[in-house]
Amino acid sequence: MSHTRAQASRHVRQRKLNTKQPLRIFREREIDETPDDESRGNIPHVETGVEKGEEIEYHLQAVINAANAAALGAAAAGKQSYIPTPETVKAKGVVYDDLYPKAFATPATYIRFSSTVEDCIGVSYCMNDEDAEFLSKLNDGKDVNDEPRKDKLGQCSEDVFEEAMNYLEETTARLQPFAAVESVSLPGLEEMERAIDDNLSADAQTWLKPVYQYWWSKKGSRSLMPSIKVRVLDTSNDADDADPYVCFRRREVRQTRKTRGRDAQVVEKLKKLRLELEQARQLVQLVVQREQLNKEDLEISRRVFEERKKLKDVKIDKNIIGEKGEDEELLVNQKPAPKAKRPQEAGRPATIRLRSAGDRSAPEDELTQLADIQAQADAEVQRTIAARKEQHRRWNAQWEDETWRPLTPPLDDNDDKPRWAPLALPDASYPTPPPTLPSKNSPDRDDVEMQDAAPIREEDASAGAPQEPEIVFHIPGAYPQDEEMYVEPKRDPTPLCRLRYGRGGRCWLEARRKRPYALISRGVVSDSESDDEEPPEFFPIDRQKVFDLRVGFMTGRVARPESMGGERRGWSSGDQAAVAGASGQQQQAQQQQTPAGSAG
Amino acid sequence: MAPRNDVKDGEPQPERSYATLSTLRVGVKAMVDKDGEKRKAEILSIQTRKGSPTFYVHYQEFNKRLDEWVPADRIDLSEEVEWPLPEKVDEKKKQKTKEQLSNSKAINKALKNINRSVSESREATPLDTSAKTSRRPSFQGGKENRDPNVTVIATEELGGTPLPDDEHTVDLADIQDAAAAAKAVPGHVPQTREEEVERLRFGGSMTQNQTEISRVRNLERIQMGSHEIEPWYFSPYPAEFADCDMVYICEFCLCYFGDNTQFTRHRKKCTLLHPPGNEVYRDDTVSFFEIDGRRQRTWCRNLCLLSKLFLDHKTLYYDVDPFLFYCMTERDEHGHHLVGYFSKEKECSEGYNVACILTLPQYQRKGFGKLLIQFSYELSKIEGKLGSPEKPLSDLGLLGYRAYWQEVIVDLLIDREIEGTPMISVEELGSTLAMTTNDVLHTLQNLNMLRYSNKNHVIVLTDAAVAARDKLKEKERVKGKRMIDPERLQWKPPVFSAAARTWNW
Repeated sequence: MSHTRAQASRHVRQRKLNTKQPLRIFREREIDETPDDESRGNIPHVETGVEKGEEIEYHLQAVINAANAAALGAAAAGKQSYIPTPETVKAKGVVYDDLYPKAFATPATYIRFSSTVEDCIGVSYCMNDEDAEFLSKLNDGKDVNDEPRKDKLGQCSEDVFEEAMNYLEETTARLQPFAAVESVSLPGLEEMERAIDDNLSADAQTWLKPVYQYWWSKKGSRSLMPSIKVRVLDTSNDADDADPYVCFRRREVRQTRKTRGRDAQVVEKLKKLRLELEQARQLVQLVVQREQLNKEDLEISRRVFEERKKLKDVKIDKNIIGEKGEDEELLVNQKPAPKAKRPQEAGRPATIRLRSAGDRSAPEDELTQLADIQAQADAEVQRTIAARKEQHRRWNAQWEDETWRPLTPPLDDNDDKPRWAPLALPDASYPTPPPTLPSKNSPDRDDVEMQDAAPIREEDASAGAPQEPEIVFHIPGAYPQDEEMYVEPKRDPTPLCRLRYGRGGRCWLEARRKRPYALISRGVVSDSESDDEEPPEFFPIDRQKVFDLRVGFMTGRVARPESMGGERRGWSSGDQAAVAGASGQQQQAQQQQTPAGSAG
Repeated sequence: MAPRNDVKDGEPQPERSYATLSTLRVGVKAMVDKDGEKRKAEILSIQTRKGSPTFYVHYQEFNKRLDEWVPADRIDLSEEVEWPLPEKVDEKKKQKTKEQLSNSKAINKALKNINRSVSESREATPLDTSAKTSRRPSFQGGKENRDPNVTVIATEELGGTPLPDDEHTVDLADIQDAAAAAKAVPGHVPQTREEEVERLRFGGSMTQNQTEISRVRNLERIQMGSHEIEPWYFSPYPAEFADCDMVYICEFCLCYFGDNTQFTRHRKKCTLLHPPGNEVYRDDTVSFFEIDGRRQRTWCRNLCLLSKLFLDHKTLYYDVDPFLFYCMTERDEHGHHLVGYFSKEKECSEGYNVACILTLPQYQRKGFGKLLIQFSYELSKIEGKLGSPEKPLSDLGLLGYRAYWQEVIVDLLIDREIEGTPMISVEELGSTLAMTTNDVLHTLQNLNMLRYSNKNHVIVLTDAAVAARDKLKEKERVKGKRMIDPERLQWKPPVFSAAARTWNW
C-alpha cells in the first residue's frame, strides 16, 4: 500500500463496518495509517454498560484513563491504578478450627446434594448469653423468678432448651401471625401444650413449662431470632413497598389463557397428585408401623433373653440341674419342641414311639382344629346345595321348559362350522370382521351383560319361571359361543357387511362404511363417542354365502341365497314369538344400527 | 418535614451559604476532609454517638462504597455549603411519604428503645419536632458564623446543644427524598418507582433504580469465616442488626447472627460443608456448584443478602425463584469456602448469561473474578448461545469484564495469526468466544484495535495489547495459570417445563 493511495482514500466516504465480513488482522507496524476521528465515526459507539451517574466516578475514570493511555501507546505505565474498596482483615479472636472443625473429606465424584438449609442447621433457635444465664440458673434448681424449682426434672441440656424455645416461637408465629402488627396477648401455656405434636421431643415437652415462664418474660411483640422481612402474599401495601427492609416478594404468576380444557386438565392433574401423595403417605405410614413393630419385637426378644438369662442364673444359684444342654438352649431364642423330639425318635423303638406319640398328642385331639370346623361348614353348604337342586328338580318335574332354547335350536356340528366362519378370505383381500364384538373375557362385556341380564332375570322370576339353571339367551349370531370360532377382533377399517336374522326368519344384509379409527378404539377421548354407547355388533357369515353375495354385488343385483331361509324352516312360530318378547331389548339395540341394504 | 418549608420554590440553583454545625441537616452538601483532601460530600444521615453528632456522607464522584460516618471536625464549615433543592414531589406523594415516615420512625424508635442504651440526656428538651420544623438552617445562621473560630465554638457547644430526640435515627423518608433530589440531575431520565416495579414484576432483572436503595449502610462489620469485612452498601438484613457492632455469617449456610453466642451455638449444629447443590465443576483449586433458587430458597436468599452488601445495583425486591446460582468455592479439610458466585436467569428474554456476579471482598484481587466470568462463558458455549452480563455493570464489574474480554480476544487474534489465516469477522470472534457482537465491538473499540485502512476495516493487534498479553503470560508463568478447564465441566443446560415457567419456576 503506497502512501499516495492511502492519502487518496481519505476523501472517499468510508463504509460502515460489516460485522459478518472477515477483517484482516494486522500488527501495528504493518499499517502506516494513524487513526483519525473520521475512521471512528463509522464504527457504532458502544456503551460501557455502567450507569451514567457512576461512569464519571473519580476512581473508575482514573483506571479507564490509564488503560486508554496504555492502549494509545503511551508508555506511562507508572503506578497501577485501582478502585479503592473498604478494608477486609483477618478476624480477631476467632479460633477458626473450633468454629469450623475439619470435618470434610472430598469425595471422589462430584458432589450431588439436595438437602436444604433447614435440613442442615437443626433447631433454628440459637441461645444467647441471656439464655445461657437462665439455663444455668434452671440447672441450679431455680426457676425464672429465682425461686426453687419444685419439679424433679434434673438437668436441661442446651439442645432441649433451644428446642423448647424454638417450639414456643414457632407456635406463636403460627397461632398469632399478626402479632407484630396488632397487640395480642401471648398464647398461654395450656394453648401451647395443646398445640404439641409429634415433632417435639419428649424431653422438650417436659421442660416446656419452666422454659415457657422464661420465654414469656422475655418475649416482646417481635420474634426473638431476628429475621428478614419477607412477604409471602402480594400485598399492595404502600408502606411495605417503600420499606427497604422488605425483600424477596413473590413474583406474580404469568397469566395463561384460560380454557375449559386446561381447567379440566389441571383438575385431573391435581386429583392425580392428591391420590399419589395420599398413597405415598400411606406407604410411609405403613413402613413406620412395620418398623415400630420390628422394634417392639426386638425389644421383647431382648427381654425374653434377659429373663431367661436370669432364670439360668437362678438355676445355677439354686443348683438346679436340668437336662444336658437345656440351659444353653434357654439363651437361644428357638422353639425347644422339635429338638426335644429328636433324641426320642432316635433312641426308642418304633412301637414305643407310636404309643408315646399317641400319649402326647392326646390333649391335642381334644382341641377343635380350624380345619375341622371349615370342613364341617363346607359339608353343610354342599348339603344345602344338593337339597336345593333336588327341590328344583321336583318343582320342574311336571313342566317342560320352553325357554331352554329360547331363540335358536342348538345347531348341528357340521352346520355350525360354516356358519361361523370368518368373513375374511384367507388371502386377506376381503374385509375382516370389525372389532365390534367385545372379547368374552373383556370387562366391558361383563358390564353389558350385567345391565341387560338383571331386569330380565327379575321378569322371569316374577313370571314364576324356573330359576335354575341360569338362563342364557342365545341370539342368533350375537355371540359365537364356540371359543375356537371366535376370531380376535381386528381393527380393519375396510367396508363391512353382515347378515342378520330378524323376526319371522327374515334375513338382513347390512353394509357398513368405513369408520374412523378413533371411533372404534376405546380409550381415545373424543367428544363424539360417549362411554355408554354400546359397541356395534357384527356377525360373521359363511364363506360360501359371502361369495354369493359378492357375486351379487358384482353383477348388480343382490343375490338371495335359498339356504338361508331354509335354515329357519324348522322353527315354530311360538319360538319366534318368544324370541321377540324376551330379547326385545337386544333387537332394538341392533336396529339402531344403520342398515344399508337388506335381503330376505 | 423541615426541608420542604425552608427553601423557596422555583430556585434552579442550590442555595449556598455558611452553616453551623447545628444547622447542618440531611441533604446539605459540604466540603469534607477525605484522606487529607477536601471533597464535596452530601450528608445522608446524622446520628449522635457518645454525645457528639456524626454525619454519614457521600463524596461526590466517589463510589457509594466509600460513603462513611465522619465526625463533625472533618466537615469544613469555613466554606459555604449547598442547601438541598426544594422537593419536587406532588402533594399526594408527600402525604404518603409522611405516613411512611411516621411508621418507620415509630418502628425505629421502638427498636432503639429496646435495643439501645443511648444516653438520652437531651430527650426532654424544649427543641422537639416542631422546633425542628421552624429551624432555619439558612444564611442567617451561616453569616453569623462566618468566623471559623466561632464555628468551632459552636461545634464544641453542640455536645450539650438540644437536638431533636430522633436525630440519631436513620430517617427513611429523608433519605429517599435526598436520593430523589440527587437524582434530579439534568439529563437523567427519571424513572418512577411504579415503572420500576412494573418492569421487575414479571422479568427477572436484578437491578433497580438508585432511588429505591436505602442510601445508608446498615451493617457496621461482618465476620465471615476467618475474615472481618466492612460492608459496602445497604442490605436488608433484619433491622435489629443495625445496632450490632458485628454481624456473624456462617460460612457454609450463610445464616446471619447478631450475637456471637448465638453464632457459636449455630456452628455447633450446622452440618453444611458446601453450597447445597450439585457440583458441576472441580479442578485443583476451585469447585462450582449449581443451585436452584426455587429449591434452595433459604440459602439463595442468604447469599443474596450477603452479596447485596457488596453490590450496589442488586435488588432484593423480588424472590430468588427464577435464578440459578453458580457458586465458586475453594476446598480444604474444613469444607468448601464460598469465594464468589454469579446468578443467572433460568430463562432470560434479553439473552444475559449473568445477572449478578461477585467475588467476596476477602477473595478479591486474586484473579477469581476472571474465573467466574470465564465459567459463565463456558456455560454459554455449552448452551450454544451468545452471552453478556446484565446491565448496569458496576465499576469493578466493567473493569473485570474488560480485562477478560481483552485477554480472550487478543489470544484468539494471535492464534489466528500463528495459524496463518489472519482473517476474522467480528461475529466469528463473538461466536467463538460466546460473546455478543456488541461486547466484541466494545472491546475492540476500547483497545483502539478497529481501524480503517486502505478502504477497509481492519483489526490491528496494537503493540500495547500484545505487550499486555506478554506481561500476563509472564505473570502466569511465574504464579501459575488459573483457568477453567472445559473438560472438567459436567453440566447440561437445565430444562424447565412450561408449567414451571407458568408457576413461578
